[in-house]
Amino acid sequence: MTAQPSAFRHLPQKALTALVYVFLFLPVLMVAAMSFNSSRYSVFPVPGWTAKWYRAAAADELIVESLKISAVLSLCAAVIATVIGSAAAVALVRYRFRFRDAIRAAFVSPLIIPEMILAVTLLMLSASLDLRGGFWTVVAGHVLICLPFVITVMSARLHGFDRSLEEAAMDLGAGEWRTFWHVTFPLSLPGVVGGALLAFTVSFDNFIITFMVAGSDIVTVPVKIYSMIRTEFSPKLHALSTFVVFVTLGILVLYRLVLRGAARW
Amino acid sequence: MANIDVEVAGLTKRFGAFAAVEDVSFSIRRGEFFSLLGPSGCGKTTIMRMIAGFEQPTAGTIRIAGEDMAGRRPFERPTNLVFQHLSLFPHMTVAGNIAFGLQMKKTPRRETEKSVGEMLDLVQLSGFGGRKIPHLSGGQKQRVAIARALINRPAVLLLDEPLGALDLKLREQMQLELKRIQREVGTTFIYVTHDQKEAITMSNQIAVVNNGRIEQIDSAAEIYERPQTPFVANFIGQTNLLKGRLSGVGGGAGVADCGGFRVRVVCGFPARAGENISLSVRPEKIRFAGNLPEGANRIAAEVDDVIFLGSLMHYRLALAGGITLTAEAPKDGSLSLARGDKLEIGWLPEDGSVFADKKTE
Repeated sequence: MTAQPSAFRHLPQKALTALVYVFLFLPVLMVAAMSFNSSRYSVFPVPGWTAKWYRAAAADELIVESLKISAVLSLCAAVIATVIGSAAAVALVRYRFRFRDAIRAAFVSPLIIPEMILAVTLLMLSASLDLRGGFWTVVAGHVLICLPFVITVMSARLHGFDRSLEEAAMDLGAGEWRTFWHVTFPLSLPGVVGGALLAFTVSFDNFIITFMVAGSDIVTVPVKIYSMIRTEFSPKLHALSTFVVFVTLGILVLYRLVLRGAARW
Repeated sequence: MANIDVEVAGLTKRFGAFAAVEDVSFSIRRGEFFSLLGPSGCGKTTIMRMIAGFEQPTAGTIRIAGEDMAGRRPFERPTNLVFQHLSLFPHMTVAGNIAFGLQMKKTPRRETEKSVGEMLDLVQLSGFGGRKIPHLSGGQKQRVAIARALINRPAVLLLDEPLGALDLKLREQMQLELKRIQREVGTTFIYVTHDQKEAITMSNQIAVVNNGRIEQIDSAAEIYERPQTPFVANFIGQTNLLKGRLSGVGGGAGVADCGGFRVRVVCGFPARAGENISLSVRPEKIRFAGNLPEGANRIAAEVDDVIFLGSLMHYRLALAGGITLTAEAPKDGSLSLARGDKLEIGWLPEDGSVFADKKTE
């Protein structure tokens, strides 16, 4: 017989966990609550509920434009980072070569280097190359910070890869290319998709690098939110922020689902 | 020569200074069940991987159905392999796994479906085609792996200890299953195993491998009854190994002084007096007083221990000179011995196997 489950067992641990979650999510919930607030001012308790700020945000061309720019920019950055990062992970996991550990460390270093320093360096570099402010310059900056995530996710997937599956395919008559296409690629796909989704959220949420490197015509969502705080504070800001939070959460949920689906293989 | 399917000559594989496989030669007739038997790390898997094309030999040739395999990639060889851990494709169904070989040959869909159906029948998995691999039991996965490897009608099917992961009951069942499948398809099987019982149960021919070399190639019965090296005698079944020195040699027979007692032996090689030998006597060849036939060696012994093994009894016998032997007798009531009993035991000279002590095992 196991001990009877009691609501009071582990009570201190449960209370502490609850506090941590409150600390983590209260600000987000506050923003979400304010975005449905009928008052123009962020007051509490909320006098009434409305969705008008969402309608206003959707009607604001600059906000819609920033969403479009962010989507396209993050998509480009995610795709490029996934291609480069997957190839790099295959090389780092599968092959032995000189300076392999140093190269791995170099790829992962954007996680460790303070982002502000990275951003300033990128700004100086792009200025000296006369590429300052261009769309692809910003994409390049985003690719840089997405690569560590793609490489980490892909490496984990490849480390767990049973090489004898590739041998089995070759034994059954598949050459190198067909072995890759029928076995290696489909079995690494969760890593590729997972890496891409993670890269997209990293790029979509990025503020510092975009702010430093981008010219005045490239206004992504985080940059737009920042400028709204400084110039024309409006509950539209809450609506936009809430929307972004849920897009990011949605992608993370998708990422977990992809990995969980893969675990069954 | 026409019905020789696999011919391996002088096969050698070195990794740096280490020789994993050293000068291995054998030939296998078409339709034979051939086992490579040896302890782990003896080089048997390396031999098999060279036949499959996953390792390149340092020296030697492999011919399959008369064709030299040198330089042929795994996907260009008439061999298929059942992997040790089966290596079924987890993202495909049972039918998808089995069809893979034919799809690589660009076989028309209808023909592929028909062949997959036949294979499912052969391994008794009819109706399982749509199942996912993770939803199968160990024995079912085994059957899928065999069907997948057989669908291309290979000249040779290689099996790399495929039953290792199964429990004893299922393993014995699958051994019979494999024998049946082999009879039905008539393909040459090369079976790699460290389990001597498994090799004896299934094989027409067994090659006993040790330290990268073949110690003996023979039928299971020959290997058991007439081992050619102490290693083979020890590895296949149980045996008593005695050290001795020959004296009074003549006509293929002689007397060996084992230190404490002397026994008559039959030598299968030209022996000289004064030579050091090892003598192997199987436990079931040892007879007890009252049942000792004419011409048997007779030695005084004391029962040291009695071990009950179900239908059999094992007796540990202490002999002069501090030597102990294990004897086996059916538990049929004709013999009842207890610890401390003193009696005469012995064996026929031709029931022992004698090896010259030139090289160590």
